[in-house]
Amino acid sequence: MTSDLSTPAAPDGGTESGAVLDGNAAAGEFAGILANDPTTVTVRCGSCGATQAFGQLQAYLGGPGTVLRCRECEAMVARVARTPRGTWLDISGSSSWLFLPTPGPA
Amino acid sequence: MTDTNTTEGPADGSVEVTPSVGNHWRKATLIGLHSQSWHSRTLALCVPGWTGHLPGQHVDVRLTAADGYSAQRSYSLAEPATPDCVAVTVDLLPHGEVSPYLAEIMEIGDELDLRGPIGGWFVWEPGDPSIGDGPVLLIAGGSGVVPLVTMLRARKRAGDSTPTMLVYSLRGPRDLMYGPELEEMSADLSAPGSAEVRLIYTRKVPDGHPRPASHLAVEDIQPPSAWPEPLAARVYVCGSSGFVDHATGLLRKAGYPDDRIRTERFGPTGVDR
Repeated sequence: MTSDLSTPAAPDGGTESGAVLDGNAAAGEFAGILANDPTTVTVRCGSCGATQAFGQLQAYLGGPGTVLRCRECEAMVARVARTPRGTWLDISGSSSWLFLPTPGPA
Repeated sequence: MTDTNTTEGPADGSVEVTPSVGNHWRKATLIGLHSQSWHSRTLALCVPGWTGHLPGQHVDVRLTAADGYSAQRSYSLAEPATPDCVAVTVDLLPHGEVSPYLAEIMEIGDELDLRGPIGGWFVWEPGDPSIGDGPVLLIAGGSGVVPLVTMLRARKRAGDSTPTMLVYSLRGPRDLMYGPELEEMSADLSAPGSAEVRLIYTRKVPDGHPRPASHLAVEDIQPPSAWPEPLAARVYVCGSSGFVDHATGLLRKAGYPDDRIRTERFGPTGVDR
């Protein structure tokens, strides 16, 4: 792995003590990277295959990066970290991202 | 009195809304303050060039200390779109890092960094054809009422008559936000923009309140009998993670399909650098 993202947020890493939020709260971080509003994107988990709106993913915000986990199986589906070298986006835990055909209301 | 006194836009409410994903930080200046409850207040902020937003969207707020340390949190937008102006309602988290400054210390003229509007999923817009004309059920836990009240205000401003009910769970009378406005909104259910409001006190009830203090139960989310197809309602739930889990459990038990339920969770966690 070449990623700087060495610290997975909870549950397995256990490095993060705050409450679990959802993808709505992580949208600001991802909106800076994606051209679209992330919250309306349908994400398929690469581990269990469940699909869910980005806004419904579990979000862990207090760690060194922003980590999103599947609401069904808790596998990590996406993460973003801003480092001195640049911004890392890792979506290897997801199998697809479905963007709405017409831009959402935002 | 409501905080609309300090933050409302033009009297006719007509605003050209062209929301876009706002991913760059802007300077915002505090121009108005209004107390909401004993531990929350609404901040009206001037943001030059703000292009509007939808009810339910939020902004990220960033505070930066002199040594460069910064902390970032998300807050729901507390008013329908008004040119160059946004409002957020901030609830004090006793050991929080950002909310004590916003809820107690920040003064008129002070600045902060803000980006947004963010999120097109947890939104409800009067007349949105994708939503249809089915009823709207709004369920709030604590300060989760903020984006839902923004939806109610937008609905009232638009003269929308979609049957709407707000179920608002709160600890006690002194935690009530938007009290007078909600009372006025629910006083005459035949008036345009009115909505049924149920206050669910979980620890302490005000004198004369018919429902004893207890957590949100399935009968509390029972739709009004006048609703023709209650299970066709679009449901919005906003609160802490625990509250959202509890409320969605009740909704599933009541037969609401998952694809009609949209949720937004808030909590003490944020991004600190």
